[in-house]
Amino acid sequence: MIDLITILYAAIASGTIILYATIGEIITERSGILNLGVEGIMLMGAFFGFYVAYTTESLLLAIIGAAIIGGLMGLIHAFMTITLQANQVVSGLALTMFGSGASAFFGINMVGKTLKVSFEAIPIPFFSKIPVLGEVIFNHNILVYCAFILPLIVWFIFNRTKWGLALRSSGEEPLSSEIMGIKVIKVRYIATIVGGIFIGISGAYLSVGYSKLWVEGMTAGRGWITIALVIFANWNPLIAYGGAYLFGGLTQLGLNLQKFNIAFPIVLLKSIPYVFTILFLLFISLKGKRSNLPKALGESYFRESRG
Amino acid sequence: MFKIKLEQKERVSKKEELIITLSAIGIALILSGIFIAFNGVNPFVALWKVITSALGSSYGISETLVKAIPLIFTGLAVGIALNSKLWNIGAEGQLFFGATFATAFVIYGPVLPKPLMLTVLVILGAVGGALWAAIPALLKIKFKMNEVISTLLLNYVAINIADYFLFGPWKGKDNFPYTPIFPEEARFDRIGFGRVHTGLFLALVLVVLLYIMLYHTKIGYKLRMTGSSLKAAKYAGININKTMFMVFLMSGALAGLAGVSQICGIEYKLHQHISTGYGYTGIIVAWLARSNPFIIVIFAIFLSIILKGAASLQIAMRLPAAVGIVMQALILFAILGSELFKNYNVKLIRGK
Repeated sequence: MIDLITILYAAIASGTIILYATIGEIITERSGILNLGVEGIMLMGAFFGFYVAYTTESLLLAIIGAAIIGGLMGLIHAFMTITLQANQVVSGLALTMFGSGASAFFGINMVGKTLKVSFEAIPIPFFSKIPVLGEVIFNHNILVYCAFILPLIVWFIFNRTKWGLALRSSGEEPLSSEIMGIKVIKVRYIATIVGGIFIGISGAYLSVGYSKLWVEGMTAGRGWITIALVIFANWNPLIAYGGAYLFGGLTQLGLNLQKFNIAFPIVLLKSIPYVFTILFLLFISLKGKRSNLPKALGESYFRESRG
Repeated sequence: MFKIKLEQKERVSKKEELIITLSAIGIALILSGIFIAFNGVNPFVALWKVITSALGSSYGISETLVKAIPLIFTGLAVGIALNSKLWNIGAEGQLFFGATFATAFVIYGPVLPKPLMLTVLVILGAVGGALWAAIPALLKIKFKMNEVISTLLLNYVAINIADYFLFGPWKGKDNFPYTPIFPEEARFDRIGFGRVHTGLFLALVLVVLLYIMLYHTKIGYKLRMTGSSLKAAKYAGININKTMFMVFLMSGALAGLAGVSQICGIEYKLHQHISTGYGYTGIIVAWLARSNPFIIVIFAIFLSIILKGAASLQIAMRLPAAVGIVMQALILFAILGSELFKNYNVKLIRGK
């Protein structure tokens, strides 16, 4: 029999990896910059976070380190696509290649190492005693709890602050925004760097908080799944919760199929996340609503063309 | 605080363009040198090793060519899609699926006379690659699904399918994940220069055919029209969905051929490492070559020098294998960043 509580618990723990990255990518894309380098940034965050945790034995420094490396990767993408006006698709692919190469290059000595420190589960007093719900939701580590709050904060900034307005209008109508006094270039730089920071943290959560080891290429396509989930979430941080945890849950359920003794080869079970992602996108396409797609997403913005 | 001011250039000479590209490659090599120095290896010695190991001996040149063959196929695969502004990031998966398709015939089918056998395998590899590319094509045409994401995700699935056979019905007698060695009939002949095989000729023939098709036939006109402007293509009465579908099939078929050329030309069996990311490197090749089939050959050779050089660094200087991927990414970044300087005069001005 499948243990439902275990699956739901694992769904949240594994959905958190993608939730951080999805929020990061939503911030970046809302400003009009498409960053296809998520996979590479995640890998850099995962490697560097693990490296810092291993050498300093400080979890806080590990997260800060991953955030910085993620922010730097975002900065590279911003410089390429905003200042040098490079094609955003190609720059993102180059970033993914760079991140997977550089993390494997530097990370080769970290393979097989184990950490002396780890994020322990912190049961929330009282709440963790609630049957089922308490066990599933209120008995995680601090990074999972932070991920509970993050989309709410980002949603609030998007919809209730001047920053959010500047961000969204840069992604919708960069030319008119500039006339209205919004510094589109600055906004896009910040959004791409901040996006990179959260993607970097998602990598560190994966290596330090979730699997507690570093393996070359360990993100295994989660960066690309993230990009699909941004579309699924309709660029809305609140729907990102649903997307990330639902995705985590379905994947866990798929992996648990083994216990049913269904004659389904394990190597093919490994394909479940990718097939699910495609089905997610199919579902969105059939629903036909993508109202929040930033109009200027992926297009270079030429300030000079303002004349 | 400095600001960048851009002035559109009226005309860019070929010479100027070449100088900018070469400087970009130079910058990429300097950056690669910094990476290499991090590992305590003298970067100048390392870069010299890259060049000499790839081009310094007839063995080196032959091994460089061996790596160029699959890159020409995958470069053409990505390039033909790019001509119609379609991103096929799935050449790696199509390569594996094509190779798996062809291998199935070697394992379950009869052993035919060599010319017939190779024809069947080449066709099956192309069909396998095309079938795998048909999935993202249909998803794009019927459901408007972004092909960058779908083609990439399907890479993982294709490799898992190949793994299924390698760890299951096709695994070796010693339980390792590789098929039995192919019979002589299923192998491309060597041309008498190291491991270089006749797959090279197949690749070069396709280069010429694709060039003629793209620039001298009505189909090619339709493909390029779809790439330059969807509106104009529609206005000209081109069936865009049909054209896109066809492009995807051709693209997948070419990637499938890269798989066949690896298993029938080099490895003589299917295993997990028939490709060292040729599908991804093909993206760089096609992008740098502006999808022109002849220039694809040049950049395929250029990148195979990097791949061969990096492989030697790994063995001779104990650098991690990933150094090749880092170098490729830096070259792509540098040339991508240099585009601006081809079209604009870039001036730094003092801003407020």
